[in-house]
Amino acid sequence: MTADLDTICTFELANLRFGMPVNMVQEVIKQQDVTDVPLSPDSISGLINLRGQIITVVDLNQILLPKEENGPREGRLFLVCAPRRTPLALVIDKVGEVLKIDSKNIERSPENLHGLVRDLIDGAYKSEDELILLFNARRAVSLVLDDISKSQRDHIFG
Amino acid sequence: MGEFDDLIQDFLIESSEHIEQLESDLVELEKNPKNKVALVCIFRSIHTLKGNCGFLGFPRLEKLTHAAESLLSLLRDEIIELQESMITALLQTVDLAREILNNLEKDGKEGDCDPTELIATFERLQSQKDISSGTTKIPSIDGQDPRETAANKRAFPGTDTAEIKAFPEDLLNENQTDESDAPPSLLGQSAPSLTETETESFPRLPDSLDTGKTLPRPIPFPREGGSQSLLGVGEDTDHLSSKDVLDDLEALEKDVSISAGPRRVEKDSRETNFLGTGKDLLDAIANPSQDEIPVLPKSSQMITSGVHNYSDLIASLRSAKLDASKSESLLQSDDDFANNPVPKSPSIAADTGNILEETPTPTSLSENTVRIDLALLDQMMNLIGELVLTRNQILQVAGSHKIPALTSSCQKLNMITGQLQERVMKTRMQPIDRLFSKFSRLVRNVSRLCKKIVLLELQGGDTELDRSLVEAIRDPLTHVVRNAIDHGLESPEERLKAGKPREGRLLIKAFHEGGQVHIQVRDDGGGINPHKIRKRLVERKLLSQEETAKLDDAQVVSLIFMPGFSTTDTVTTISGRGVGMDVVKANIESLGGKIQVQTVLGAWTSFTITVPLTLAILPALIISSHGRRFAIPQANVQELIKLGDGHALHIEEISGSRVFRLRNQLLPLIDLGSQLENRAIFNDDENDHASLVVLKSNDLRFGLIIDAVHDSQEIVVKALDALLKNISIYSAATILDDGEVALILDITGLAQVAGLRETLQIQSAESLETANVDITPMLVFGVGTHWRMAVPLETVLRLEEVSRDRLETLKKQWVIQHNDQLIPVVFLNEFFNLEPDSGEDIDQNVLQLIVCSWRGRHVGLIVDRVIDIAEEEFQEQRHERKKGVFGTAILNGKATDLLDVKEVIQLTNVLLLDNPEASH
Repeated sequence: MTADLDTICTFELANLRFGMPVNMVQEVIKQQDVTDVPLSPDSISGLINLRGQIITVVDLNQILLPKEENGPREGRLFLVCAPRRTPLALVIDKVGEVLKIDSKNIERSPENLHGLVRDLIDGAYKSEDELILLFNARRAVSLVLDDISKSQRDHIFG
Repeated sequence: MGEFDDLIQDFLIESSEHIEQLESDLVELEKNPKNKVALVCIFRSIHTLKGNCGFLGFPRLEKLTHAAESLLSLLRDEIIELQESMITALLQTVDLAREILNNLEKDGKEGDCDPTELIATFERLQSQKDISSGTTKIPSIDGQDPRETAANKRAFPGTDTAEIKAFPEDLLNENQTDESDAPPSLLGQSAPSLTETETESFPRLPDSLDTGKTLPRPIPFPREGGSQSLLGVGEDTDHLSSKDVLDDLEALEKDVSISAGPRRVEKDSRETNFLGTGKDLLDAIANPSQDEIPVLPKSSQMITSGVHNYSDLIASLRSAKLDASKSESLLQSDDDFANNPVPKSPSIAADTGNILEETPTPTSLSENTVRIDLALLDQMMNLIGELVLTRNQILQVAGSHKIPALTSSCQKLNMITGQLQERVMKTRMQPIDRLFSKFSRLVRNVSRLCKKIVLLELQGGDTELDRSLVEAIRDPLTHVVRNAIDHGLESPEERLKAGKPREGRLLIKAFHEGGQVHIQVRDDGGGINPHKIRKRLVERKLLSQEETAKLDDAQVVSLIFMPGFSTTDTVTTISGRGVGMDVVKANIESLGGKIQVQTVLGAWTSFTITVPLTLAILPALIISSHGRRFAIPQANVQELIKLGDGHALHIEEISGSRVFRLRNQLLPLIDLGSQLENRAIFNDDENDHASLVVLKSNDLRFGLIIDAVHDSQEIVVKALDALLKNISIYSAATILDDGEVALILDITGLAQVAGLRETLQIQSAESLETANVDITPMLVFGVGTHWRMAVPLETVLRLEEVSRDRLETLKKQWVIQHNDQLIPVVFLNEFFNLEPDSGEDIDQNVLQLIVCSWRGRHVGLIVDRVIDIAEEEFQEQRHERKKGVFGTAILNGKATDLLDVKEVIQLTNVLLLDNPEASH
C-alpha cells in the first residue's frame, strides 16, 4: 500500500480532509438518483447504475458524524473507488486535488483522533498548510460491514 | 517468476482440458475397445501431460503419467489387450491427476497425493503383457490381415527392457509367417540372428521387469530441443540404459505425430523446436519403414522393418549410452537406416493418410476460438445494457424531431444494438456436452457399483445454455442420473426374467423447446411402483392411508419430490430412491426451472428437468411498494388479485396474521410494506389500491400485498455487492428500462424473514390434498330459482355482467358484440324451460353472461347467478339422461348438475360464428 501512496487524490468527507491513492480512484461523479435498499443500514445509501454496472453507495457520514449533523445535503459527489473486485461509490462532500506526496511527511495517526476515523486511515500526511488523512478504502468496507452487523443486532433485539 | 506463473497457469488450463478429454475418451474406449482413434487420443493427452509436467517440474504427476503412458503404449501397439482393470486404472489416473492439478492451482504444490500405488498397478498391468501377447499375437500373425501383423510388428515401444527381449520373438514369428510379404533381403538376414534371442527371452521376462519400478527419469528430450537433449541423455550414464534412449526415440516420434495437429505446432514452441531438430533424425528413422506402418510408433517400426539392422541399432544405442557426449553416433546410426533401401508400398502409405485425416484433432477447434474471461463478458453485457438505454433515449429524441436522415440512422442503430445484444448473450452460451461428457464416466462408475450393465445414450449434446446454468444443473442432474441407475434400472438377472435385454438403457437427452432447455433422463427399468410410495408415505407419516388412497398413481409418483419423503433405510452407497429428490427439486426451482417425473410400471421412468436458457436474464414482474419498484421472478408468480374489487372482503385476521380466502383455501399474507419499512400497504380502512400477488416457492405458497403491479419484463440479473448479501429478502438487482436500479425479491427469503416458514410447511402438507391433486375446477352457477349447475372452469373464457340492451338478434338468434366479434348467446333458463329467477334483489336488466369456448368457437350462456368456483374432487354420477346435462356431482356440499355445453349448442342449433381463434 505504502508504495502506492506517492500520488493521492484528496477529498472532504464528514468535515475531514482525506487522501486516497490515485490508482484506487476510478472516477468522481455528481450525485445521482440512488435506489435505496430497505432493511440496509444507514451507512448504505443505496444503489446506482453506473454505465450498466450496479454500484453500492456508501455514506460514511452516517457512521462518522453524530445523527443531528447528518441531514440530507445537496451537491454531494460520489467517489467511485475499487478497494475490492467490485467498485464502491463513496459519498463525499468535495473533491480536492491530486497531490504528489513525500513519504517522509507521513506520520502515524494522531493519538487523540476520533476512534472510528482512526480505524479508517493509514496515517496522516503533513502538507504545507494542512493535515491530510490517508484514507484506507478497505477499512472503510469493514467499517460498513460492522455497521451492518450492528444494525442487524438492533433489528433483532430492538 | 511472473512468466513462470503464466506458464503454470497455461499448463493448468491446458491440462484440465486434457483431463476432460481423457475422461470421455476413456469411457469411449471402454465402450468400443477397438477404437484406435480414442486410444491414440488418450495416449497423446497423457503424453502431453507428462511432457509438460517434466518441463515445469511436477515429479509426481510426471511419474504417474509416465506409468500410464507406458501401459498405453503397450496397448496402442497391441502388445497387450485392453482390460477393464486398465480403464479403471487410467480413470483413477485421471482422478489423481485432477487432484494434483487442483492442488497446484491452490498453492502451486502437488500436495500429498500419492501416485505410488497406482503406478504399481500400472506395472502389474504391464507385466501381463507376456501372457496376453503370447495369446493374442499368435492368431493375429497366423491370420490373413496384413494390418494386424503390421501392428504386431510395431510391438516394440521400448518402454522397458523386458520388451526388448520380448521383441525378437515377435519379429521372428512375423518373419516366419509373413514371408511372402516381407522383403527377401530382410528375412534372410534377420532370421538366424533372432532364433536364439527368442528362446531365451520368454522365461526371463518377469525378472527384467524391475526396471519398471525404478521409473525412468523425466525425459528431457522433447522439451529442450533435439540434439541438446540427446547429449543430455548420454551424459547421465548411471540412470540410463538403451531403454531410455529408446524411450526418447519413441517420445520423439510421438511428438512428431502429435505435431501433426496444427495446434501443437502453433502453441507449443517447445515441441516445434524439437520438431525442427528432431525431424531429420526421425525422417531417417522413419524412411526405411514407411511401407509398414500407419501412424505412430516409428521407432518400433524402425526396428521391425530394419530387422537386419537390429544388432546395429542396439550397438548404436549402446554407443549413445557409452559414448556419452556424442549424439552424433546415434545420428550416424540413423543415417545407416536412411541408407537402407526399403521398398515403399503405396497402398499402405495411402492408408496412413486416411488415418491421419480420420483422427479427430480435438485441438483444432482452438484455432478459431479465443479464451475470454467471464468477467469481461459480463462487462460487455453491462455496456450493451447501457447502449440499449442510450439507444432508447436517442430514438425518443429522434422521434420528436422527425429528421429523415436521423430517423433512418436511428433505425439502423436500433437494429445493430439489438443484434449486438443477442450475440453477446450468445457468447455466454455453452453446449451441454460439457456436462454430458462427465456423465459417461459417472454412469460407468455407478453402474459398476450397482453391478448393472448400462448402455448410456446421450442426445442433444449441442444444446446450448448459459454457462452458469451448465454448472448449476450439474448436481441435480447427477443425482437424477445416479438414481436412474441405482433404482431405475434392474439388475441384469431381473431384466432377463422380465424379458428385457440384459443391458439397461439410459437416455440423457437435451433439447430446446419453448425458450427453455429440457433435459430428459429416461431409463427402461422397472418404473416407480405407486403402491410402494403410498406405503412409504404412510410409514413416514406424511399422509394418512385415506389420503393416499384418494390420490391417483401419477399424483403419488410425483410425491417422491415431497420434503421428508427421503428415506434412510433405502440408502445405498450411491443413492436411495427419493433420497434428496426434494433437494433436487428445490435446486432446480431455485434456477427458475422445474422437474417432472413420468413412469410406467415395469417399463420405464423419465425425469424431465426444464430450466431457462440463462440465469442472466429472467422474466420478472415489476411491482411497487410505497413508490419503490421491485422485481419478482415470474417463475414464482402464480396469480394476481386486485384487492379493490371487493376481494378485500376475503382478507381475514387470525390472531394478528392476515390470511386470504382464495377459492376456499386459506392463503397466508405478507405485506411487503410492513416487511420493508414497517409501514403496511394494506389497512382495513383504505384498501382500494392494493394488489395481491400469489407467490409460490419450494411448496411455500403465500400472498404478497403490494401497491401496484407495473409490468412484466425480461430483466438482466446483476449480483448484489457483498455488503448487501446478507439481506435475505433480495436475491440480486437489475436495471429497468428507464435506467433505474431495482432490487429483485427473493421469495423464499421473504417468506423466511416474515416468519412464514413453519406455518407454510404445514400449509403445504395440507394443500397436498388440494393443490397437488389434479382436480378440475368447476364454475358453479344458478339457473332458474334454485337449480345449481356447473361447467369446467377451463372452458370458461370470461364472466361478464351485461345489460339486456346489449343483446341483439341475428338470424333469429341472440348475439352479443365483444371486441368487434359476435358471440351467439343462449338463455339457459329458456333452454331448460325454467322460470328466470325473479328474486327482488335481482336486476332484470343486468344479465350474467358466461362466455365459454367450444371447439375454438365462443358461445355465451346467460345464467341467473354465478355462484362460485368449486375446487374439489368430485365423483361424477351419471343417471337417467336429461338433455343438456352430463351428470351430477356434489360440489360445495350441494348436488350440482354438470352442463353439457356441446349438447346445449347442438340442441339449440346455435349458429356458431367464426372467430379468429376458430382457425387454430
